[in-house]
Amino acid sequence: MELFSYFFENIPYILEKTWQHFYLFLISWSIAVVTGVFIGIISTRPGKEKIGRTVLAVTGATQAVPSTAVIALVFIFMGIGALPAMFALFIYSLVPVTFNTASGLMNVSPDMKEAAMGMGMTKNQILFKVELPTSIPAIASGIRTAAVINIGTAAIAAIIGAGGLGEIIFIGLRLMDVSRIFAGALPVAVLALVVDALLALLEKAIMSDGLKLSKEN
Amino acid sequence: MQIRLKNLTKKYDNGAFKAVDNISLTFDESKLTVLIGPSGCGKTTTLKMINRLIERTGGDILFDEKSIDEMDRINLRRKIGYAIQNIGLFIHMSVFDNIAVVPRLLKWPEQKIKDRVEELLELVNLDPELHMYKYPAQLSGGQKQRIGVARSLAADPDVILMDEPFGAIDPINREKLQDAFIEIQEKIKKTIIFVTHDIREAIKLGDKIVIMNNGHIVQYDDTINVVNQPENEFVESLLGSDRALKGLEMLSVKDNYIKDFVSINAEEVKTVGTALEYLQKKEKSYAYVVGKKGILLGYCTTKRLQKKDKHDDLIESVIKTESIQPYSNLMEAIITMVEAGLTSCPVVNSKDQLLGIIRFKTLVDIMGSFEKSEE
Ligand SMILES: Nc1ncnc2c1ncn2[C@@H]1O[C@H](COP(=O)(O)OP(=O)(O)OP(=O)(O)O)[C@@H](O)[C@H]1O
Ligand SMILES: [Mg+2]
Repeated sequence: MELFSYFFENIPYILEKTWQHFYLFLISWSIAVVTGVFIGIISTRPGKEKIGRTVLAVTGATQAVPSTAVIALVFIFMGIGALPAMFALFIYSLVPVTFNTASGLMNVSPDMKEAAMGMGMTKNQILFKVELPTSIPAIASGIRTAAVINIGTAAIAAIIGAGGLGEIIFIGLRLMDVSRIFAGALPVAVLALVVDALLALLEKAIMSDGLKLSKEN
Repeated sequence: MQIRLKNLTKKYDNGAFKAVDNISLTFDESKLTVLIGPSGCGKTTTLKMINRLIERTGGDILFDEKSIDEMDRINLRRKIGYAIQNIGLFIHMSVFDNIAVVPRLLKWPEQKIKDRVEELLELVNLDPELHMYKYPAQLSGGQKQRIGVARSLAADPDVILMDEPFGAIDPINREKLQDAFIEIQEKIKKTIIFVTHDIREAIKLGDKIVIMNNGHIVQYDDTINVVNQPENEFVESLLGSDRALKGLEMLSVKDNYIKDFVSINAEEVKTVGTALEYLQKKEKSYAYVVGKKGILLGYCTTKRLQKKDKHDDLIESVIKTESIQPYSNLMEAIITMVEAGLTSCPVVNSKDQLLGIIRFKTLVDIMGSFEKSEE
């Protein structure tokens, strides 16, 4: 087993890099989730339809910007190291979370909102009892997309000295050492899959049965 | 509670367009008033100004002579039941939670809410056990509208606003819901403002009718006066040509059926022989047959019974029949009877218990009296 040789000979080192990778992801992604949901909510409050549409247009367009471009830009303005890398990852994850939160909230059925208002719910009650619960599928899918691309992009961020599993991959590429490349890429893939699966479970747990049923129809 | 509109106006586009133009009228306490008119005439706008989903641009709205401006918007809405044009059930909430929304906003104790939800489900003819924990996605269109109605009644409001609550429903279920709704209003006697653009629905449900066009009131009167004395051609065209038939829609079966009639109780009369004897004694050629608790099973005729052995079970010779409910109107009764080819039709309550019979002849006589008043 040529392919696995580097992997098995360097398990402690790989674990250390995996942890570093996870750390980069976790910090940048969590801040992005909180910020993105917040921006999504603020930009879609009643009377702010214009802002909401602008946010959607901007985040929709920037989703197409390649991750290397974001990393390169951050490098130009902030130099190298873990902090600039995390900032790049934060920006990159922020986009899908914001986009999905805003579009989810903007797509809540106007009938439900009108009924809620007519029944005497306050604006906050409408947000927390109607808008957010019915937008969970959209928001959750944004959060999951953000997690997966964050973990993938973190590997590239090794270019600007972020550390993490990308470091092993890049050394492998330079040395043309397939076993090394593999030892770096495998944990990235596993990490992405595991995180996505955990988030899927969480989504299922907090989503109302009524919503699941209405999505099936 | 009485609601008075005083020179109520809603302008759009900086005053260039008046969706509602200077209307004044009083919605009577405990009455069901129907707002009707062509699409875009301002019905929904009028309704939404009453619970301030739309702010008026002129005039005033008074609840028992108190101006709407003196009331807190949120509290006002919690005191007014509201069923919107497209139902708008919360898809992530169970039937129970949907109905419980306003009671919870008003911080009712949970047990009281539970009792209330069950009571309301019974009222709209849905089995609480079966439906309480379902989600909107598991309900038919008609069931959703029933929940919409139940939800608007939840906190026992004095005033209920309903915007085409039966709009999205097929004609048959629509009539059933209307019947159920009339029965409900008989019990609760609320001030209801009901929007529709179906004249038959208006005549059937309304104590009074407001006819609107282009943001104005064309006629406002008791339903019977609107039908008999339309203000102008616009109202006449809205009523359509068959006013005698429309008149039948205002009258309900419950005021026009006969309660003394011959029936056979299959719990006591078990054989063909005893049934025949009974019919001959009463000099009848047929009779309705009821079972346990007076539930209608059908009817039997002497002709048919004579062909059987007199020891045969009576039940086997019973012929099934159409029936009609007391809150249906006479128009529906006529249609049912014509379609089934009946000269009389049994009247049953919602539990299928036989209450009486309605005769075709009675209906024809009533129709004749309308035709006279039309001349
Ligand atoms: N926000 C708005 N801006 C401008 N015009 C409006 C607005 N809302 C409603 N209108 C207009 O006001 C008029 C009355 O609308 P409304 O919704 O009250 O009609 P309606 O009688 O309920 O009709 P329908 O039977 O179709 O429900 C319509 O011509 C409509 O186009
Ligand atoms: Mg309308």
